[in-house]
Amino acid sequence: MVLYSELLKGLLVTLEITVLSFLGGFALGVILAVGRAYGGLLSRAISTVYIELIRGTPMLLQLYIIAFGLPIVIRQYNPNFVLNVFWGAVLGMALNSAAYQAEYLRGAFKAIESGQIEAALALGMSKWQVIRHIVLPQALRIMIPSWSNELVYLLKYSSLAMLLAVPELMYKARWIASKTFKYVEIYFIVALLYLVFALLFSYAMRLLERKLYIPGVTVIRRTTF
Amino acid sequence: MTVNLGEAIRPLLDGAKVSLELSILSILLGMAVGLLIAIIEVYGGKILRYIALGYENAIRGVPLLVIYFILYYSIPMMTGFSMDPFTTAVIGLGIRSSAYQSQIFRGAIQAVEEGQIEAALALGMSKWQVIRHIVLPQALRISLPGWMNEYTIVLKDTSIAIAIGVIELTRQARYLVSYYLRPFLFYGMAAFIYLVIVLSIGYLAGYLGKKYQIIGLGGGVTRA
Amino acid sequence: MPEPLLKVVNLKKRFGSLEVLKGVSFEIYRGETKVIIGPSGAGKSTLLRCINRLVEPDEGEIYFNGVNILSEDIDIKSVRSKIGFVFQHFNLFKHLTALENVKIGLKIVKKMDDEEATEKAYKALEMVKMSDHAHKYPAQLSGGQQQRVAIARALAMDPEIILFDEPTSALDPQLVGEVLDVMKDLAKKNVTMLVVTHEIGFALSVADEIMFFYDGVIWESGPPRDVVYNPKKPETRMFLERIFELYASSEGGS
Repeated sequence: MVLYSELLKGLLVTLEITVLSFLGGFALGVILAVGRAYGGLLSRAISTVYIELIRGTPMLLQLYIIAFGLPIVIRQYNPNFVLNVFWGAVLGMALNSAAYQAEYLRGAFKAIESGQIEAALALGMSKWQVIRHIVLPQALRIMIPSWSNELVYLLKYSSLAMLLAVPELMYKARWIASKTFKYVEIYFIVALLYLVFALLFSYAMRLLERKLYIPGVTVIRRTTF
Repeated sequence: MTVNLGEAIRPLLDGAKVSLELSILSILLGMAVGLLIAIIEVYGGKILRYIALGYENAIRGVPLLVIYFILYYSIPMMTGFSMDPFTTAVIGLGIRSSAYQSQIFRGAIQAVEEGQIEAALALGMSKWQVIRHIVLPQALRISLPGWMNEYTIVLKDTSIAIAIGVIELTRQARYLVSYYLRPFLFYGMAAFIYLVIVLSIGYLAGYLGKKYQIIGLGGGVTRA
Repeated sequence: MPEPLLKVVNLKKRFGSLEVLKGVSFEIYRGETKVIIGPSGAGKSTLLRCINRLVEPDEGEIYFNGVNILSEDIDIKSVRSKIGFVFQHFNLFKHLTALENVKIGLKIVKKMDDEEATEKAYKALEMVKMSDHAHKYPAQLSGGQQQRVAIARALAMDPEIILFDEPTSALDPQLVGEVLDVMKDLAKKNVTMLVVTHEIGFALSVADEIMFFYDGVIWESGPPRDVVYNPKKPETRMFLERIFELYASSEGGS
């Protein structure tokens, strides 16, 4: 049926938002975590303020700022600016995820004994070499369970993009419901879809954890999503 | 457009009040249900435990927005029974939170050593008395940090109630921004209000944690 | 007389209100093995860590090959690559195999290419008799094996001197011997070594000098036989008596 293909298109958009913001958040998150844990005074200050700001406010508010606030400011300089809501949502969610991923990574940094860092410095490595070759390879493994949680979290919160008129799963579901009046079936189907993909993502992450396993480098187990 | 701050701030504060009310009612509902689920999961029979775990995993795998829509659109269509947006939001957020709080409480309950329970039973207490007088007092103290963390999450997620028409802080901020076209001002003020509450809870949790700490008992389970 | 390889002059360090090093001075010539003994927690670890500046001293000079390495314009990383350090808790890199642990300094700090580094690493592992375990992770090795890999890691860098910070204190008694054997071997090969330890037996068999560290300074020093059997200062004698009591009672007990 045509309607269900629309639903599937929405699902695809949801998955795209999720994965893009997850990866974007990761890239920025690593920079923030290293800046906050190992940087100079300025890096530490900027990272800390950014992280606390993001973690202390709702994601929806942040999405509104990017999707509705930013264009207003940009239009003062370029009156023809129109925001692509898909990328606005991805940007907002990536900036949000970066703050949380940074904290998970920082927790993983703390789990690595300082003795290893001492030994690396004693060999003559620079601070950056220590971070790159000793700390990060272990920390990234240690944080995989938290990372997995974050992926599922982003999957669920991608539903907020509906309020930005992004044609993802919830948006399509609502559209279908308004056309068919099947308010019962559609939302339960959607619930099931989210649940299935949440489980798939968790499973994929557990496979990743197994693949990267090194005896002696133990992960920090967190609650499942 | 010039902003009359006195006039503009009133709707913002009204929205903040709604957000606070929503968060408090939801967290309390979540606590009641979550505690019950946790007790069932630790002490219940096999069938009950599976149902509880199923509930937990199902709720946690689904976005809050979906829960809201099911409660606000699907249930009324199935049962003819409908509620106003605010009540729906409380129930939805409360149910969602209960699935996470049950984990916090479950961990805390399990942290109380078996030996103490044995000793209490040996004294002649019933299972329920043991839970009420020995396990819960300690478990609740252990859960405090995790629970306060959960409250900050609930507070932030009150913003999602916009989708079913609740007039809370974030919605008010957006309304003011679209009217006055001053995004940084109003979104900034809304962010400030959220931040103040979240950071205060953080400090309060630390302070209470130290004050009511039982020497020798660990802290709670935490999430982002 | 040639210059000493390492010359420490009047080293001072305080942590808050606690003065841990009150003016430590000594010299080590190339090929010598010197042992530092003394009460626990007194500052011997701090002293070693000042030498490669893992801890920054407050006052004093440290001359390495005639150059004061405490001065501003020193590239400490290059100095550290010439000073080997073996830690009490081994501090192997957990995510790397034994071979990779030994190689990493060669590749990253000395910028060797992979082939050269691998060859050198294997040689070092052979010297400590761990080449069969090259592909094992630290978690799969016993304490004694881990410490030997740690020694190989220091050796592979061709250091001018190796500092040992209580290398056997964290080991089960039956594993101590294999590590001491490796260290005695190195001493006999004229590797320059500065060892902080409680193992008087090791000192007696291969050390050129024992230094008794007490109250923030080198309280007494001399050839091992002299210091151990004829201590001049009462504090030295008291410390040694307690150590022998420990060893005597444990031997009697087991």
